[in-house]
Amino acid sequence: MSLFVVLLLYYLPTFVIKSPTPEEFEQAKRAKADKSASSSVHVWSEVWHCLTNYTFMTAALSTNFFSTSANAVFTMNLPYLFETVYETENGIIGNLTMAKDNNFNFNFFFFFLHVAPGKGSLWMGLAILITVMGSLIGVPVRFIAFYKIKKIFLKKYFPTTVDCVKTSQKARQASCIPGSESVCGPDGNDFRL
Amino acid sequence: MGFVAIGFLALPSAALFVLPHAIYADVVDDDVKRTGARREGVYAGTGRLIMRIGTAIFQVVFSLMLMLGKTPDNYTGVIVNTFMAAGLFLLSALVLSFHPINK
Repeated sequence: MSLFVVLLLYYLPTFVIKSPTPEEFEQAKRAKADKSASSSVHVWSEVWHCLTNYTFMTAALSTNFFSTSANAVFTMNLPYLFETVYETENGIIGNLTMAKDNNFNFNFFFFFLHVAPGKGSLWMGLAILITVMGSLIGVPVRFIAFYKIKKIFLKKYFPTTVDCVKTSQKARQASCIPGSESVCGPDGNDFRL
Repeated sequence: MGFVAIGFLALPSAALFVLPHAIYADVVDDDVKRTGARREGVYAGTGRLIMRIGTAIFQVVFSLMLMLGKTPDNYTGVIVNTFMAAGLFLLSALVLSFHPINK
Protein backbone atom coordinates (compact mmCIF):
# COMPACT_ATOMS: atom_id res chain seq x y z
CA MET A 1 0.00 0.00 0.00
CA SER A 2 2.72 2.42 0.99
CA LEU A 3 4.60 1.52 -2.16
CA PHE A 4 1.53 2.38 -4.17
CA VAL A 5 1.25 5.78 -2.46
CA VAL A 6 4.91 6.52 -3.08
CA LEU A 7 4.62 5.56 -6.73
CA LEU A 8 1.46 7.62 -7.07
CA LEU A 9 3.15 10.67 -5.54
CA TYR A 10 6.15 10.13 -7.75
CA TYR A 11 4.26 9.79 -11.01
CA LEU A 12 1.33 12.06 -10.27
CA PRO A 13 3.13 15.23 -11.40
CA THR A 14 3.77 13.65 -14.79
CA PHE A 15 0.01 13.35 -15.27
CA VAL A 16 -0.81 16.76 -13.85
CA ILE A 17 2.01 18.82 -15.33
CA LYS A 18 2.34 18.70 -19.07
CA SER A 19 5.88 17.88 -20.11
CA PRO A 20 7.41 20.48 -22.41
CA THR A 21 8.16 19.55 -25.97
CA PRO A 22 11.81 19.62 -27.02
CA GLU A 23 11.19 22.92 -28.82
CA GLU A 24 9.58 24.46 -25.77
CA PHE A 25 12.39 23.16 -23.63
CA GLU A 26 15.04 24.71 -25.89
CA GLN A 27 13.12 27.97 -26.03
CA ALA A 28 12.87 28.15 -22.24
CA LYS A 29 16.55 27.32 -21.94
CA ARG A 30 17.51 30.12 -24.37
CA ALA A 31 15.24 32.61 -22.61
CA LYS A 32 16.79 31.75 -19.27
CA ALA A 33 20.32 32.12 -20.64
CA ASP A 34 19.45 35.47 -22.28
CA LYS A 35 17.90 36.75 -19.07
CA SER A 36 20.89 35.67 -17.04
CA ALA A 37 23.34 37.25 -19.47
CA SER A 38 21.42 40.50 -19.72
CA SER A 39 21.11 40.89 -15.94
CA SER A 40 24.81 40.15 -15.56
CA VAL A 41 25.69 42.76 -18.17
CA HIS A 42 23.35 45.18 -16.46
CA VAL A 43 25.08 44.79 -13.10
CA TRP A 44 28.54 45.29 -14.54
CA SER A 45 27.45 48.28 -16.56
CA GLU A 46 26.08 49.78 -13.36
CA VAL A 47 29.35 49.10 -11.54
CA TRP A 48 31.22 50.62 -14.48
CA HIS A 49 28.99 53.66 -14.24
CA CYS A 50 30.00 54.04 -10.59
CA LEU A 51 33.68 53.55 -11.31
CA THR A 52 33.65 56.19 -14.03
CA ASN A 53 31.74 58.68 -11.90
CA TYR A 54 34.28 61.30 -10.88
CA THR A 55 32.25 62.47 -7.90
CA PHE A 56 31.94 58.94 -6.57
CA MET A 57 35.54 57.95 -7.19
CA THR A 58 37.00 60.97 -5.40
CA ALA A 59 34.81 60.12 -2.42
CA ALA A 60 35.48 56.38 -2.61
CA LEU A 61 39.23 56.67 -2.99
CA SER A 62 39.54 59.15 -0.14
CA THR A 63 37.03 57.76 2.34
CA ASN A 64 37.12 54.08 1.47
CA PHE A 65 40.46 53.28 -0.06
CA PHE A 66 42.99 55.54 1.61
CA SER A 67 41.47 56.62 4.90
CA THR A 68 39.97 53.24 5.81
CA SER A 69 43.26 51.58 4.97
CA ALA A 70 45.08 54.22 7.00
CA ASN A 71 42.76 53.60 9.92
CA ALA A 72 43.33 49.84 9.64
CA VAL A 73 47.09 50.29 9.55
CA PHE A 74 46.98 52.72 12.45
CA THR A 75 44.76 50.47 14.55
CA MET A 76 46.92 47.43 13.92
CA ASN A 77 50.07 49.44 14.57
CA LEU A 78 48.90 51.01 17.82
CA PRO A 79 49.62 48.04 20.09
CA TYR A 80 53.10 47.71 18.64
CA LEU A 81 53.62 51.44 19.03
CA PHE A 82 52.74 51.41 22.71
CA GLU A 83 54.57 48.20 23.36
CA THR A 84 57.82 49.03 21.62
CA VAL A 85 58.21 52.78 21.56
CA TYR A 86 56.49 53.71 24.81
CA GLU A 87 56.98 50.29 26.44
CA THR A 88 53.52 50.40 27.99
CA GLU A 89 52.02 47.47 29.85
CA ASN A 90 50.24 44.96 27.67
CA GLY A 91 46.95 45.35 29.53
CA ILE A 92 46.34 48.88 28.36
CA ILE A 93 47.16 48.33 24.71
CA GLY A 94 44.03 46.45 23.73
CA ASN A 95 41.86 48.95 25.56
CA LEU A 96 43.48 51.88 23.85
CA THR A 97 43.04 50.25 20.48
CA MET A 98 39.39 49.65 21.12
CA ALA A 99 38.83 53.04 22.67
CA LYS A 100 40.26 54.70 19.56
CA ASP A 101 37.36 53.43 17.50
CA ASN A 102 34.28 55.40 16.80
CA ASN A 103 32.03 54.00 19.50
CA PHE A 104 33.61 56.24 22.03
CA ASN A 105 31.33 55.57 24.95
CA PHE A 106 30.99 51.86 24.26
CA ASN A 107 34.72 51.38 24.22
CA PHE A 108 35.03 53.28 27.42
CA PHE A 109 32.97 50.48 28.89
CA PHE A 110 35.56 47.95 27.78
CA PHE A 111 38.29 50.17 29.08
CA PHE A 112 36.75 50.25 32.52
CA LEU A 113 35.86 46.61 32.28
CA HIS A 114 39.53 45.78 32.12
CA VAL A 115 40.45 48.24 34.83
CA ALA A 116 37.55 47.29 37.10
CA PRO A 117 38.70 43.90 38.48
CA GLY A 118 40.35 44.59 41.78
CA LYS A 119 39.28 48.22 41.81
CA GLY A 120 35.82 47.67 43.28
CA SER A 121 32.32 48.21 42.05
CA LEU A 122 32.75 51.98 41.72
CA TRP A 123 34.67 51.58 38.47
CA MET A 124 32.16 49.14 37.12
CA GLY A 125 29.31 51.45 38.04
CA LEU A 126 31.09 54.35 36.39
CA ALA A 127 31.63 52.29 33.25
CA ILE A 128 27.97 51.37 33.03
CA LEU A 129 26.92 54.96 33.73
CA ILE A 130 29.18 56.35 31.01
CA THR A 131 27.99 53.74 28.55
CA VAL A 132 24.32 54.35 29.19
CA MET A 133 24.64 58.14 29.27
CA GLY A 134 26.81 58.10 26.19
CA SER A 135 24.27 56.04 24.30
CA LEU A 136 21.37 58.20 25.42
CA ILE A 137 23.14 61.40 24.45
CA GLY A 138 24.96 60.04 21.42
CA VAL A 139 22.02 58.80 19.39
CA PRO A 140 20.01 62.04 19.22
CA VAL A 141 23.20 64.08 18.78
CA ARG A 142 24.22 62.02 15.79
CA PHE A 143 20.74 62.16 14.34
CA ILE A 144 20.50 65.94 14.73
CA ALA A 145 24.00 66.46 13.36
CA PHE A 146 23.29 64.33 10.31
CA TYR A 147 19.97 66.04 9.72
CA LYS A 148 21.57 69.49 9.98
CA ILE A 149 24.36 68.52 7.60
CA LYS A 150 21.82 67.30 5.07
CA LYS A 151 19.74 70.45 5.38
CA ILE A 152 22.78 72.67 4.86
CA PHE A 153 23.81 70.67 1.79
CA LEU A 154 20.31 70.83 0.40
CA LYS A 155 19.96 74.56 0.88
CA LYS A 156 23.31 75.32 -0.64
CA TYR A 157 23.48 72.90 -3.54
CA PHE A 158 19.98 71.76 -4.26
CA PRO A 159 17.81 74.84 -3.89
CA THR A 160 15.24 73.43 -6.27
CA THR A 161 14.70 70.56 -3.89
CA VAL A 162 14.10 72.85 -0.94
CA ASP A 163 11.74 74.96 -2.99
CA CYS A 164 10.03 71.82 -4.09
CA VAL A 165 9.53 70.71 -0.51
CA LYS A 166 8.06 74.05 0.44
CA THR A 167 5.41 73.91 -2.24
CA SER A 168 2.23 71.99 -1.83
CA GLN A 169 1.87 68.35 -2.71
CA LYS A 170 -0.26 69.15 -5.73
CA ALA A 171 2.17 71.75 -7.01
CA ARG A 172 5.01 69.32 -6.49
CA GLN A 173 3.29 66.65 -8.48
CA ALA A 174 2.77 69.12 -11.26
CA SER A 175 6.24 70.64 -11.24
CA CYS A 176 8.54 67.80 -10.31
CA ILE A 177 9.46 65.85 -13.39
CA PRO A 178 11.95 62.98 -13.02
CA GLY A 179 15.12 63.66 -14.94
CA SER A 180 14.63 67.41 -14.90
CA GLU A 181 16.51 69.85 -12.70
CA SER A 182 14.29 68.84 -9.86
CA VAL A 183 15.20 65.72 -7.96
CA CYS A 184 11.73 64.91 -6.70
CA GLY A 185 10.38 61.42 -7.18
CA PRO A 186 7.80 60.54 -9.80
CA ASP A 187 5.01 60.94 -7.26
CA GLY A 188 6.17 64.43 -6.38
CA ASN A 189 7.73 63.43 -3.08
CA ASP A 190 11.24 64.47 -2.34
CA PHE A 191 12.86 61.18 -1.48
CA ARG A 192 15.87 62.76 0.19
CA LEU A 193 14.14 64.24 3.17
CA MET B 1 48.48 59.51 29.06
CA GLY B 2 46.07 56.80 28.02
CA PHE B 3 43.05 59.07 28.37
CA VAL B 4 44.73 61.83 26.40
CA ALA B 5 45.55 59.34 23.67
CA ILE B 6 41.95 58.12 23.62
CA GLY B 7 40.69 61.68 23.32
CA PHE B 8 43.01 62.53 20.48
CA LEU B 9 42.43 59.30 18.59
CA ALA B 10 38.72 58.74 19.10
CA LEU B 11 37.42 62.00 17.73
CA PRO B 12 39.07 61.87 14.30
CA SER B 13 38.11 58.21 14.07
CA ALA B 14 34.50 59.12 14.76
CA ALA B 15 34.62 61.61 11.89
CA LEU B 16 36.12 58.93 9.69
CA PHE B 17 33.19 56.63 10.33
CA VAL B 18 30.42 59.24 10.14
CA LEU B 19 31.36 61.56 7.29
CA PRO B 20 31.70 59.04 4.43
CA HIS B 21 28.03 58.14 4.74
CA ALA B 22 27.00 61.77 4.43
CA ILE B 23 29.30 62.19 1.44
CA TYR B 24 27.92 59.08 -0.26
CA ALA B 25 24.37 60.30 0.21
CA ASP B 26 25.28 63.44 -1.70
CA VAL B 27 27.07 61.45 -4.39
CA VAL B 28 23.93 59.39 -4.95
CA ASP B 29 21.75 62.50 -4.97
CA ASP B 30 24.04 64.15 -7.48
CA ASP B 31 23.93 61.07 -9.70
CA VAL B 32 20.14 60.94 -9.52
CA LYS B 33 19.98 64.57 -10.48
CA ARG B 34 22.17 64.02 -13.53
CA THR B 35 20.98 60.64 -14.76
CA GLY B 36 17.49 60.23 -13.30
CA ALA B 37 18.31 56.69 -12.14
CA ARG B 38 18.79 55.63 -8.54
CA ARG B 39 21.85 53.52 -7.80
CA GLU B 40 22.24 53.54 -4.03
CA GLY B 41 22.81 49.80 -3.87
CA VAL B 42 25.42 49.71 -6.59
CA TYR B 43 27.22 52.70 -5.11
CA ALA B 44 27.26 51.09 -1.68
CA GLY B 45 28.50 47.78 -3.10
CA THR B 46 31.19 49.38 -5.25
CA GLY B 47 32.33 51.55 -2.36
CA ARG B 48 32.61 48.50 -0.14
CA LEU B 49 34.56 46.66 -2.84
CA ILE B 50 37.06 49.51 -3.09
CA MET B 51 37.39 49.55 0.69
CA ARG B 52 38.06 45.82 0.85
CA ILE B 53 40.73 46.05 -1.83
CA GLY B 54 42.48 48.87 0.03
CA THR B 55 42.32 47.14 3.38
CA ALA B 56 43.62 43.88 1.92
CA ILE B 57 46.55 45.58 0.19
CA PHE B 58 47.63 47.61 3.19
CA GLN B 59 47.30 44.75 5.65
CA VAL B 60 49.90 42.92 3.59
CA VAL B 61 52.08 46.03 3.39
CA PHE B 62 51.68 46.53 7.16
CA SER B 63 52.86 43.00 7.86
CA LEU B 64 55.80 43.38 5.51
CA MET B 65 56.83 46.66 7.14
CA LEU B 66 56.72 45.07 10.58
CA MET B 67 59.44 42.72 9.42
CA LEU B 68 61.79 45.72 9.52
CA GLY B 69 61.54 45.62 13.30
CA LYS B 70 58.87 45.36 15.97
CA THR B 71 60.80 44.95 19.20
CA PRO B 72 61.75 47.56 21.81
CA ASP B 73 65.32 47.26 20.59
CA ASN B 74 64.47 47.71 16.94
CA TYR B 75 61.12 49.33 16.22
CA THR B 76 61.82 50.63 12.70
CA GLY B 77 58.85 48.78 11.23
CA VAL B 78 56.48 50.25 13.80
CA ILE B 79 57.66 53.77 13.06
CA VAL B 80 57.43 53.17 9.30
CA ASN B 81 53.86 51.94 9.71
CA THR B 82 52.95 55.00 11.76
CA PHE B 83 54.20 57.27 9.02
CA MET B 84 52.55 55.11 6.39
CA ALA B 85 49.20 55.54 8.15
CA ALA B 86 49.75 59.28 8.36
CA GLY B 87 50.73 59.37 4.68
CA LEU B 88 47.59 57.48 3.70
CA PHE B 89 45.47 59.94 5.64
CA LEU B 90 47.17 62.81 3.83
CA LEU B 91 46.58 61.08 0.49
CA SER B 92 42.97 60.68 1.47
CA ALA B 93 42.70 64.39 2.22
CA LEU B 94 44.41 65.21 -1.05
CA VAL B 95 41.99 63.12 -3.09
CA LEU B 96 39.05 64.51 -1.16
CA SER B 97 40.14 68.02 -2.10
CA PHE B 98 39.24 67.10 -5.70
CA HIS B 99 35.73 66.09 -4.67
CA PRO B 100 33.36 68.34 -6.62
CA ILE B 101 30.84 68.77 -3.79
CA ASN B 102 33.20 70.57 -1.45
CA LYS B 103 31.23 73.12 0.56
